[in-house]
Amino acid sequence: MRATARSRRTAGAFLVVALAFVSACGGSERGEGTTARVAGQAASAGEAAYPVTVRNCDADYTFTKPPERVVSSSVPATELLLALGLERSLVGVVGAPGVLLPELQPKMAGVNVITERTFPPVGKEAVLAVNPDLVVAGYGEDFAETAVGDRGALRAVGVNSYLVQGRCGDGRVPATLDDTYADIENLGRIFDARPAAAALVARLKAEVASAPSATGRPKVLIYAAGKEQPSTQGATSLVADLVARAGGQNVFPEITSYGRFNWEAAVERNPDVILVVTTGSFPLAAAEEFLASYEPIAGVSAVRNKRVVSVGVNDVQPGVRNGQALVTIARGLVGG
Amino acid sequence: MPLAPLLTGLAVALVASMVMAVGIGPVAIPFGEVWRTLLAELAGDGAGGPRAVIVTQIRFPRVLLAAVVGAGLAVSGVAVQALVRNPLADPYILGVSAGAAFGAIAVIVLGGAFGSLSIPVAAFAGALLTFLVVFLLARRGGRLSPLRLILVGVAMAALLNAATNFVVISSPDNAQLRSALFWLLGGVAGARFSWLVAPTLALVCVSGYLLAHARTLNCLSLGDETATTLGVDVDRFRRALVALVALLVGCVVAVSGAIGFVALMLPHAGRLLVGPNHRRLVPVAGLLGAVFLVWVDVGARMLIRPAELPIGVVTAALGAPFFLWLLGRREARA
Repeated sequence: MRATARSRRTAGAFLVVALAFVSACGGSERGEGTTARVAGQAASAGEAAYPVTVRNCDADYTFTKPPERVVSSSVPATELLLALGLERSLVGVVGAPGVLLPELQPKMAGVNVITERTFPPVGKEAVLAVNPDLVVAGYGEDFAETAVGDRGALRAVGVNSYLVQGRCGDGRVPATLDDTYADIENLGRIFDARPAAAALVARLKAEVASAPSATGRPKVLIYAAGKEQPSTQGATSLVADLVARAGGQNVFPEITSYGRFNWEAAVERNPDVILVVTTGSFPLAAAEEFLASYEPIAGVSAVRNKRVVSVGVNDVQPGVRNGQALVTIARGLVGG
Repeated sequence: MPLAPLLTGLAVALVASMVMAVGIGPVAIPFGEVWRTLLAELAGDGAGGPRAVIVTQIRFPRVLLAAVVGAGLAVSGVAVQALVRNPLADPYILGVSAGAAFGAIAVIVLGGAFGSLSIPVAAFAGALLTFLVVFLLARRGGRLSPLRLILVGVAMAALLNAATNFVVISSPDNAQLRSALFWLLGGVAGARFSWLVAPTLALVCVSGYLLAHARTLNCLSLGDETATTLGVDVDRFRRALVALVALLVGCVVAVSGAIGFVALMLPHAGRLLVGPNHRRLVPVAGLLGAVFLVWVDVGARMLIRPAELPIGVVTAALGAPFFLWLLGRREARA
């Protein structure tokens, strides 16, 4: 079902009803409906919708009207926009529709895909060719010179930009679930879609609340890649925050950003659970096979008791998947 | 300096370094306990437990591999510098390590069809294929000239590096990209005992050959014409040398990645100590390389523990000042 709302210059109540319809269609994936409608909320937005100033990565970005030509340069950003019902304003996305969440894929019909390759980040020309007025990015490197380009330079040519908050301080500042909520609220303000944003935040918070709480502070090894020479995501990463919220304890708190660790230290710290962050080239099967076959770690508690949990690397990028990721992690920490 | 005391001193230094290195790691274990545990496990009546695992299965093979790789790189550096009669040569100019890198990266990034191969096997296959190509292309009229060898090797290395970089850039995600880059920077972390077999055998065979033909190596450095008049079959010897160096480098890079600096500089350090006579240089360079890499590996696992530094970073950071000091000392005395 498609939303037919034109979000441009609609009165608040009509906007809310239309977006409620959209969110109801989009929000049925986990059989729950935090579609507790927010019909009342529109009326409470007594403030003028524009101009709106958003603080993003230590700088202010001002929007005088809702963006009409939006490019999303990363899959997590696309999912955020689609979950807020903003597919009508998308003029270009990066990433094949097939990699999006299943319930959001129907919304991609008719949306222009600039390129299906998500890595390395899309280049300036391809993005500017569709004449955007806003670029929403899920990764800081999307604004590198070899990618879309510096945000100041974009602003100089009249293109506004937004980066998910959790990636602003990439590796230096811890990314948390609160950053994801802030992103949703910020996008709600930018697009004058506050009720949809509030609904989405409420839905995510409900998912988070439904996650079981682990007792006993199980020790968790966040295993990101590599076999004999393994890597971990780092204590500033979002997945580390999710582990902490699920009641777990990261065994490598001193490795702050993505880096290699020594199996020796992992053997000594004896994690209770190994959380595998899977990628296309490092699937769960490969990780489990290695964990089972590498003798030095055979005595580690998580390996002996076969307590291995997995989340996809995209699930722990700041975005709409974070609630479900937390539930998966929490269930893994509780079970067994 | 007379050879026998120097070799003995270096051998003792190597054994002492290895003994100390096994006791050093991100997990602090008292030194006495380290060696009691290790000896008990080796004798078969160890009690087991995580510390025993750390010492015997993680640190011990790693220290052994560091010594073997260090010696292997230094010895192949000596051989290549004699082979192409150029003090700036390192074994990587043969293109063999670029082939190994391509094989390893194909497994790391592409997985899939290559996924079932282990990285060392794929890397060695890459090294072997590259060597065959370089060898065939570098011969002309049955002769193997050093210049042609370098040029073909460098061209193949450039081609393979481009292919490797392309595969790396095609990584579907950041994590795989980093894994690939970490492998390219080299290291001996996670060493398994099975990884030791091929490099050790290659090291022993190649070192033995070089020592047996030390006189021939010395003659080679005098120039092709002079060597021929001294009775050396230059071309046949060169062919054998290329094959052996490629074998040794292939085995070493397959398990440890392309570790820089050692193969280029340690032969020169050896020459500064004992001069250019290969009968002295080969063993001295080998022992120096082994001691050097054992300590560099300690640095790689300790400096930002429990995270790991790429070993290539540490080799140059530690090696370059040491080498400059050695150079200065020699010149001051000369």
